[in-house]
Amino acid sequence: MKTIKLKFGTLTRLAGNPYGRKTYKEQIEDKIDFNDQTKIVFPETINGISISFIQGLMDEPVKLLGSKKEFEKKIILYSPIEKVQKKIDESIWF
Amino acid sequence: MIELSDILSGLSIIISVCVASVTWYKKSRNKRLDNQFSHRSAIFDSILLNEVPDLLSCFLDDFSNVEVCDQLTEKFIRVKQMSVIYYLGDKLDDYYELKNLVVQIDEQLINISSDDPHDKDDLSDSIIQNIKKVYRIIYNDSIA
Repeated sequence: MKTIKLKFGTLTRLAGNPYGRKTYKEQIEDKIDFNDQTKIVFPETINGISISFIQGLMDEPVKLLGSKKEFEKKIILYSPIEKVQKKIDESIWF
Repeated sequence: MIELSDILSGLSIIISVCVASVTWYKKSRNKRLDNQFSHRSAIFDSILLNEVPDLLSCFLDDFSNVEVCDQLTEKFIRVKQMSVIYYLGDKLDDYYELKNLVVQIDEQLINISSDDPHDKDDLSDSIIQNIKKVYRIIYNDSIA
């Protein structure tokens, strides 16, 4: 399994579909391997994420993988903060 | 030997049974959906008439309170989850409007409680307006 650790400088809360897409382009697109499983890790400094950010971040993988089942086989989004993890899980298929 | 008239009467019996079954299914489905809408108040009231107003008074005291903003978001995500009754009741416009409003409210609450929001007063006004729209959809203008 491949692990991608995201970085957001001093930000603590992430919002906006365009910012999610930008983050995907800048930090994930070149590293992700759709033939293998990839774990995308949010830093523990992030204590809040909007639904639209997650949807922007995962827009391309969702389109490429086509189904929820396939997405869940290939991509794990992880946050060490419990409430952030819950929000991530609720957001992708909102 | 089976004659054409036998086949036709057999077919007419099958079609009658199918039509009766579909009619029964539609009636029972509509009755079930009517019941769901009549219980709408019980579904949404505890959140929208009790929990959200309490949180909103805390929010208006301090827009930047991360915990309050996150709790408000949780309440509206719950409202969106429960609004599936609109989807099942063929009120798709209401369902999608509620969904879009919850996404907007969530984004605005994350922004206003972030480290450097641009204009907290404008943002809080916009959040309140969107929350009012949610109430209008659910309570048909009787409250908001």
